[in-house]
Amino acid sequence: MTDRDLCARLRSGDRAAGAELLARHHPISAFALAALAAEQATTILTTVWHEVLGEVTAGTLPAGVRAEVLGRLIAALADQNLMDTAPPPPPRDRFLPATDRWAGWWRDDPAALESDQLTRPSMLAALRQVPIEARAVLVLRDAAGLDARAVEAILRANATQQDAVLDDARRRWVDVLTERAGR
Amino acid sequence: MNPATVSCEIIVGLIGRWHDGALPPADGDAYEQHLLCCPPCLTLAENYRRALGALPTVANTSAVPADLRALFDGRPG
Repeated sequence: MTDRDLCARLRSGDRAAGAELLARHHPISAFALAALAAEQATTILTTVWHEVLGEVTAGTLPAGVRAEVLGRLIAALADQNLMDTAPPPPPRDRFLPATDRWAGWWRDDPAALESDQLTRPSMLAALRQVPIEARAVLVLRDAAGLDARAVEAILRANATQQDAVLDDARRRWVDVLTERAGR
Repeated sequence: MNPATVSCEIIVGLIGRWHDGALPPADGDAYEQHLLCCPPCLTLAENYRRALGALPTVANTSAVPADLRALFDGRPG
């Protein structure tokens, strides 16, 4: 059943449809909050969900539920200065320097990431090592699965600008996960 | 790009575009040939694939808080 069907059912009073919308889209909104907020701000997320569900019921929601919740969450965090804008530490230099005979080759071999190391806490900790603008793109595009147009409406960055930071964000994120795996 | 001489640092810079299928064919071939003879780069490429593959599943899996669940639990419509 599509989100549009669920929204129509919720408007007609089917509470199970509301529960299904929450089950589908609340987890990613909680993940985005944990990845992007400087501190615990769960009341903001609850408020956003109340607003969005109210608009679904009233038939006035302008966009899809997921994009709308994530957009409003990010806007609320920004408005209240709750985005985690602290600059992350500079990335570790993983390659031999230009002065070395083997310049550009690995200093130390990267460790292999095992499935049990790809947990929610480890992913969130590694995300916090990615600069906030790039982190937001990574969360919206790769974790939430929004397309570039939906992300543009949220972050006011066009597809080219998103792609430019997404590549670096992904590599930085995987680098940190890899570094943590090797400890 | 010569896969035998291109550095690991350059190859790692191509991972994202290779993953997205956005590398020109010649660069894609050089990238893949480098991985065949460079276990560390192969490990990082596999880490990249695994991590990006697992992210949506992990990010979309958690319990809905009780206060929101209560909006729709056990009450008549």
